[in-house]
Amino acid sequence: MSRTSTNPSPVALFLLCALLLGGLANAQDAAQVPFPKGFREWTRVKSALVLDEKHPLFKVFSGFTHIYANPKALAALKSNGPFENGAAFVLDVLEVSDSSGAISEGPRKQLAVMVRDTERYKATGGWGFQTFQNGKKEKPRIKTVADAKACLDCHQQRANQRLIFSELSQ
Amino acid sequence: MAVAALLLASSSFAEKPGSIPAADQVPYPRGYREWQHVKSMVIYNERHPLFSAFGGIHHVYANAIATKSLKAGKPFEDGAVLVFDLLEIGKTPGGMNEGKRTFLAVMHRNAKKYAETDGWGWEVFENGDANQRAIQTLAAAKACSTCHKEVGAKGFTFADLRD
Repeated sequence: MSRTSTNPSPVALFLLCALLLGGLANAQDAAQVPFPKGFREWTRVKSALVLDEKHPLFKVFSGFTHIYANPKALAALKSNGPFENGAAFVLDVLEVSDSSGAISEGPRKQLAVMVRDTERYKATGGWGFQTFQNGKKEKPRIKTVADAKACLDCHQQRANQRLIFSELSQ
Repeated sequence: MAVAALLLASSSFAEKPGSIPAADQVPYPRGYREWQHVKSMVIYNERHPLFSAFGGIHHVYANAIATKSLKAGKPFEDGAVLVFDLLEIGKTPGGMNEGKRTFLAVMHRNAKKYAETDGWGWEVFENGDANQRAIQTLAAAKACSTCHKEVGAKGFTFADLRD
């Protein structure tokens, strides 16, 4: 009797380790946001150009930017209702190509993503934040919850607009 | 009575030489804001040859039929529609935002109906208003198609789908 209770079997040890590792993996996972596959077919919400340092966002988001919303995010924008889990926004930031009186879209600088999941991203206002350098899936720049919180800090100024900057343009 | 009114209406159309019959008018592109966003551009001063006609921020949208052709690099099928949405430039410190709509230009594919203008119907809705048609005559539509002949090899459309 005492033998079985004081010496855990190898199987039990394995299970314990698996549980602990699983827990660690989940903690890391909290900062991760999936790559927004197919976002170019989502609805364009609005666009803006950030051209020089007179613009307060020049350091972070300079370029020719379009914001796209997936169907869940679009539904919430239109109804002014709550964002369901799975709602996602993408900031598609392109280089500015300026010549002969016109500005065209250049190569992609970054793809910034907000995705809604009230449980998974509880630590950052229910939104997961990520930005993919040059729009490359394998180049996420937000590595820690602290990085994601830096995004959230700036979005807090829109606390009354559900942390979102964009409104659907006409 | 209704028939008489219709006859009157059609005869008054016939009095304006070259005016586009109602049946051949390009429909307003309802719901285009949720179509595929093809590309965008800003034309901001007269150094650009299209400044007087198309100055502003523009976005090009394609409906599902047109998107299929753009992706496949295939000829446009009847029913393909492209929209050129022109907005004023809103200047902000160090940047530009979208201002109000100047007009909505539409290309609507129907190879037979619009045979005289390269298989595309052409319309411009001033201020994006479905009731303010700027292209009243075939001659006006031909002014559009004439400029687009430059890209005849691409199906008479300038826009390529951006990555």
